[in-house]
Amino acid sequence: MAKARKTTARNAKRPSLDPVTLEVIRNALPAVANEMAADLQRTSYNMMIYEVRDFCTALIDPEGQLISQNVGGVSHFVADLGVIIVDGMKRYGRQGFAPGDVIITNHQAVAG
Amino acid sequence: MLVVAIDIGGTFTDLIGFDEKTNAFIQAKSLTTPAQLVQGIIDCLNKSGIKSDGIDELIHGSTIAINTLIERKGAKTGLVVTRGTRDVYIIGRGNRPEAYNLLFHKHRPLVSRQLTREVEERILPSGEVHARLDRTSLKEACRVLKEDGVDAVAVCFLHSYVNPEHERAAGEALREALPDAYLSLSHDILREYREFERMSTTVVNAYIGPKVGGYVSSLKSSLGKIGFRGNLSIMRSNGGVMTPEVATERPVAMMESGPVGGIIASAQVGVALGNQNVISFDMGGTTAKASLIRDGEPTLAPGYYVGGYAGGHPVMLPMIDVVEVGAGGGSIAWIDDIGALKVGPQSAGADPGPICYKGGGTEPTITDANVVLGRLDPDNFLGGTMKLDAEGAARGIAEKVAKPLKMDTVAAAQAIVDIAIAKMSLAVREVSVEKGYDPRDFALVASGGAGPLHVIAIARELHIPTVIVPLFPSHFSALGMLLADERHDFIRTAYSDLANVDFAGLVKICEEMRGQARSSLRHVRGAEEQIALDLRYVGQEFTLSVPVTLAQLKAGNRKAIRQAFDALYEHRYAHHSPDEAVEMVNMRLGAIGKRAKLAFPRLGKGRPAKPARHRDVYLLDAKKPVRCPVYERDALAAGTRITGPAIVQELGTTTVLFKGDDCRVAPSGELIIKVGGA
Repeated sequence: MAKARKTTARNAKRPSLDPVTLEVIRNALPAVANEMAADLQRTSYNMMIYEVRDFCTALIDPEGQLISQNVGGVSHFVADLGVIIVDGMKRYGRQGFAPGDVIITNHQAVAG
Repeated sequence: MLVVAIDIGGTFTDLIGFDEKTNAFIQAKSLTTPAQLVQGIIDCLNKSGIKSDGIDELIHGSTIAINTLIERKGAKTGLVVTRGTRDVYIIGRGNRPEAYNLLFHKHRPLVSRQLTREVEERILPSGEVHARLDRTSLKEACRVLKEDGVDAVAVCFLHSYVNPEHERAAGEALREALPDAYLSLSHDILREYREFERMSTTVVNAYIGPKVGGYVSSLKSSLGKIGFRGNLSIMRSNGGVMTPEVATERPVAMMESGPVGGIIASAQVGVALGNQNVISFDMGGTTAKASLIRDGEPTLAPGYYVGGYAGGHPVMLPMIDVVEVGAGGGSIAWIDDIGALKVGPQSAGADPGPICYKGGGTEPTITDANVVLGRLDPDNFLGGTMKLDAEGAARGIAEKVAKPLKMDTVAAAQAIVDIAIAKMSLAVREVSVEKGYDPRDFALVASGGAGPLHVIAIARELHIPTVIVPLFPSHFSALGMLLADERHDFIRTAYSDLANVDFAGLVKICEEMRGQARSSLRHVRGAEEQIALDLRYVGQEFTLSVPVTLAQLKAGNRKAIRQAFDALYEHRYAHHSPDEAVEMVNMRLGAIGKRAKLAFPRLGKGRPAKPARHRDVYLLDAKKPVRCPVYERDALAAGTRITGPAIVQELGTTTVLFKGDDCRVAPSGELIIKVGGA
């Protein structure tokens, strides 16, 4: 993990990312959030989700910073997004996840 | 066999025919005559020199349906509904598609509340009659609509998709009371639940019905008068064709009748050249359209919103996914209030048309800009049959754009084209990049009269490495129509737990739909049927369409259907729940009548290409023109290589190659361009 981070940091300094890749990624990130929202809505068993879209989906980095968020849901949930990721990272640590893991939280002291 | 396709666009009416006996194509193009579309078709046929009595099949696509709706030029329409549901259509959905748009406006209903009349009747979701149809209230509704002088009536009762008995009876009464009105019964259009969407689809059908239905029947009789005895087919939004009778009954199915032809043809050209993944780019006189094709198949959406999801009209019929922007050859360049240069969405269309067409147009258009830049040859437009006024075009751009912006005329022309390119690139992006597809993995197929003229610049903008300019690019939508099969889609809501589903009942519904399909299909022999069940886990709202066979339904093979659903769910959402109960919502039937496949000729090998002449063209630098060789496409043999800068001219379009572009002519005739700098 430490090694991977070093590589990322080095790439960030180098402005060598070509403009098309940049644009593809810039558009793919919101597309990921929107696809999560579409999947949640389409697989939901709850009327508030599938009809009213009372939810929000997002990509967040390990520091709790927002990368992209879906459109068409309830966007002011943005207030709850970062803090729960930070809380999850604190509880399980950077090495505490495997692909496919899901954390479900309903912690009032964290997200209100 | 002689097959002819005619496609009416906003600016041009295109004709292409293929004669199997002589193995030759016939093409013609004429300006669209918006006031007399049918006359325009007859003129185009006359222009082509084809003898009407020799045509075996004529396929027609037209933008009349969507234009009637978007321009709100449909009929005065009444709506008859179940007591208590008068406002369903006006209210629409309750969610907020654009939560932060202060100026948001939901759909503007096509029927007023005054003309929406309630009738006493009630059928339950099971199909059982809860309250009999009350003749007195039905008579009253008929009286009001008659007095108000409606030209069309839509009838949409609650749960009529299960039991259409009352709707049929109301239909009979209305037909008697208003014999001249166009009538749409919801169960004839769409037998799927969801009140607002079903009502909207039925209302749209009634609203455009008199105009579009009248158009189709007048086309049929006008063709008959000039000796046409073959089959007439109408292109529909799902990528298939239908008979004029079906089109008159269900004009809503021809909403995207125009553009889909080009998308079908793009998919087929892509597959033939070994490119399963292509983006179809079609630029005509009024708009530019982009559509993504993956694995050789156009993307089919189950329904769509005419005018956009937020404020548009839902039409729940399958259609090919396409993104459209208001940039075409006729799009007008103008200066807004703060002095910025804008292009479109207003189009000079065919009448008055661009300034250079000399039809009385006074506003500079994208076509005028291309003439000023030397990219279009004023003496060789439409094979020289239409002389363009280059001086007029330059004067118009100088006065309306260059002078106010204190620019040079050529620079202003270049700016107009640049803005159009940026706009059209957005449409191509929307179908690719914005859905997470890398455009570099696709080839761009350019069509429409203005497509090949602009495609290289778009490919450069999006770094798409390969551009394909197919045969007959300016007749491409029409060419796609020659290749399209007949297709009808049917749907029935049949709600039940999969565990208790009555398979005998399902087979009965399926047979009913098959009967309906057979009566709508012309090519019954060898027809293909695709049956699917819309399934979901109990408690969910959305479904997945699971393909099944008639044999599975007849055998009551519940297990196989269940497994297919779980597998599809896993594929789509990366999880599934084998222990959850599954329920069924709809059954779908797609009936595909196979039309005879046409074998197109291949190009012969020949001598290396020689330019017909040279011409000065402004390419990247508006200060200095480049001396470009001009090739006639008809003279190009298979295997010919051309490197840019160069111009390839043909009837109806011009391909512009920039420095660094490398073009090769495929044995089947397409120009395959490796884009330099992409």
